[in-house]
Amino acid sequence: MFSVPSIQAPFGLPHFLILAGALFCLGLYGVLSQRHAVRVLMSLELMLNAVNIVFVAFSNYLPSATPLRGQIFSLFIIAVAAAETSVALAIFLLMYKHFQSVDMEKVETLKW
Amino acid sequence: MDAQQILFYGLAALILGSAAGVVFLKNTVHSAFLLVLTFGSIAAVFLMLNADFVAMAQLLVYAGAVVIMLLFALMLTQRRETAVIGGVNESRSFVAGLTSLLLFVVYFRVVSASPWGTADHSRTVIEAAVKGPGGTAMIIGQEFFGTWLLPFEVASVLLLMALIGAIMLAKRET
Repeated sequence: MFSVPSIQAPFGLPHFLILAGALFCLGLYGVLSQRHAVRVLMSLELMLNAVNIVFVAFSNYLPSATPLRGQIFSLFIIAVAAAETSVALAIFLLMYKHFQSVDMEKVETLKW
Repeated sequence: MDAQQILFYGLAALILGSAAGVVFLKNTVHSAFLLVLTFGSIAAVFLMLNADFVAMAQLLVYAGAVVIMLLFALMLTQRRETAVIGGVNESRSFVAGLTSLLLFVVYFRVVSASPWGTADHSRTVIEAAVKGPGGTAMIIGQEFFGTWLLPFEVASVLLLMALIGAIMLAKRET
C-alpha cells in the first residue's frame, strides 16, 4: 500500500523541504503531547523554524517578483515568534501564580 | 556526494537529532539547551541557502533571546520540590505521534512527487546579491523601506504591543 518514493532528484530544493517537514512533524508531536507548558512553547518554536527553512529555501531556489521575498517573510516570522513567546511566557507566569503549576493537565477550570 | 551534500546531511542530522532531544528529553533545561543547538544549526542551513542576514537574525533573536526567555520562565515557574521534569499525556501522545507521522508521510510523498525542476531559477541572482557589497542585508533593507514598509511598521507596533502586554500580564499586583 505504501510505496515510499525516494528523492531521485539531484540535490536541491526538495531536500530542504523534507528536512523542514521532519522538523515540523517533530514540533507537532511535541505541541500535541507535552504536559509542561514551556515544552509546548519550545516545540512550537520548532514548527516556526521549520516554516522559516521552507521560506528561505524557496527564496533561494525559485524566482520571485520582488527580490528575497522568502527571506523577508521569514524575518517577519522571527519577529512575530519572539513577540508571541514573550506574551505566552507572561501567561505561563500568571498560570503558575494561579495554579502553582505549569502542568497543562492541571489547568482545567474551563473544561466541561 | 559532493561537499554541499555532506554538509547538508550533517546539518540535517544535527537539526533533527537535537529537535528530537528537545521533544523527547525528560529534563526541560536539557531540552532548552538542545534548542539552542537546533537554532544554531538552522542558522547554518540558512547560510547554506544564501540567507546571511536571516541567519544572523536567527542567531540573535532565537538562539540569543527566545531561549533566554524560555530559561527565565523555567526558572520562575519551577517548584522547589520537583525538578523541571516534562512528561507526556499518555492518551494523547499515541494519537499525536500517529498524526505527525502520517503528516510527514503525506508531505514526503507530495514533495518527492512534485516536479521542482532542476534549474535553480534565481540561484545566480541570489548568489550575485550575496557576494555584492552589503550582502543580502542591503537588499533586505531596501525592500523593508520600499515594498514592505507597511508590514515593517506594523511589525514594530506588534512588538511594542507584545512588550506592553507581557509587562501588564506579569507585573506584581501592588
